[in-house]
Amino acid sequence: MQLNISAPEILDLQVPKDFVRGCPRSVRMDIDHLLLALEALDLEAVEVMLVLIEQLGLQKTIPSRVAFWRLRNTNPLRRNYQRASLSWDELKALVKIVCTLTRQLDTGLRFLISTQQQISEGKIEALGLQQNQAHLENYIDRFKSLYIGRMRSPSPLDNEEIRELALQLLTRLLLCSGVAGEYRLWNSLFDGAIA
Amino acid sequence: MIQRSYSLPSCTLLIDGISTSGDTLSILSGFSCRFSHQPEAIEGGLDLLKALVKVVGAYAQALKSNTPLTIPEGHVRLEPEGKYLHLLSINANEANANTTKKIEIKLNTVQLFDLMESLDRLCCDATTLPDLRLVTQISDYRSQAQLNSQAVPAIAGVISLAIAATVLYFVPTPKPETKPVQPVPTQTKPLPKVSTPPTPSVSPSDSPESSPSPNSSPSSN
Repeated sequence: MQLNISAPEILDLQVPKDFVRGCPRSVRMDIDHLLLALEALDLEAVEVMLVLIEQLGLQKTIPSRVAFWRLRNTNPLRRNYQRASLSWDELKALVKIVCTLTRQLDTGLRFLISTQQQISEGKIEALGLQQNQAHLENYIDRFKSLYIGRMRSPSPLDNEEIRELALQLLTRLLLCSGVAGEYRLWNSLFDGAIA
Repeated sequence: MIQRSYSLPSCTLLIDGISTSGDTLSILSGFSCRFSHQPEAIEGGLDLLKALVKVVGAYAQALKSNTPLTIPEGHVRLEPEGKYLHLLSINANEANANTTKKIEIKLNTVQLFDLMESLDRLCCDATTLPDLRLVTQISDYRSQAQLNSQAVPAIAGVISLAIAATVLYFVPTPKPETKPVQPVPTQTKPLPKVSTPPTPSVSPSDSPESSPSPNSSPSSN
């Protein structure tokens, strides 16, 4: 029975009324960072995203690989930032892609977040889980190299801040992998954003 | 009598109820929520379930924005403990006869997610308690927290200003007249000394008459 549960239509992603000037900067940054974290989690994430665009019927909004790349370059921190903004439909499409892909990577996310907690509690040595720690470090390193490669230089964040961001994004991704993930992610994007 | 279960790796939510029409479980008779790391289960009625949905929903939303908040609602309270733990405490005195004591459960982020997800599935399930709604609004709680954090510095500022004002009130005001009087004669005295030598050199005959007049004018001032 649980498999039939899906978010009801009432949970339509509604554009907040205050944001008349289009998608705020912080939202464009957030959604791009989430996509970047997914890429760091799964090396083939971009290919999967392109397949998902077709499966979710989003070709109208994102017709090609280049169009997808352009959408991601609306992040003001990007090296190739062209001062373009996201339309609400494009943002909704990206939110759908993030949530659908996150659901597929759910197990890996749980694993990495648990490892993160074990590291903070100093249990890695005692439990002999150095291998898990290496997985987490791998993720952080991949995220770091993706971030430094894509964002403008000099990098807007230093090494420690990038690491912190990578870890925060894990929790955020986990929380949007649920059945109402899209709705929760949509609301969290606008939380604290300036119109 | 219908039972619905929402099970996730670390949390199982059981809903017991009665159906009034078809498959829809519309009247709740009780629920229990059990964590795999905790022998005690959370049990109660509709009020407790609603509070739980509200607290967990709002807390998860705040956590997602990287701004953990303490969310109190009725007898349920969820607060951050350190960076990776979350403390769920339930004061179940009046909630139901089944539970009579305070339950405190420490959850890590994954367990919190499982709790949120089981409640979200319940909220999104149109065949079980259709009245339950997802909670994503946290502005109420945030404004409370902000008010507290903003009020303290503001009040402290006003109080410190008041203390400073009362202390400075007793400090005597300095008298401005004493200082300018002293420098005036010291500056004026050298002037006649310089002026007096040339006067005798220019005209020795007029010196007795002209010399007293410049000397007298500065002294009177």
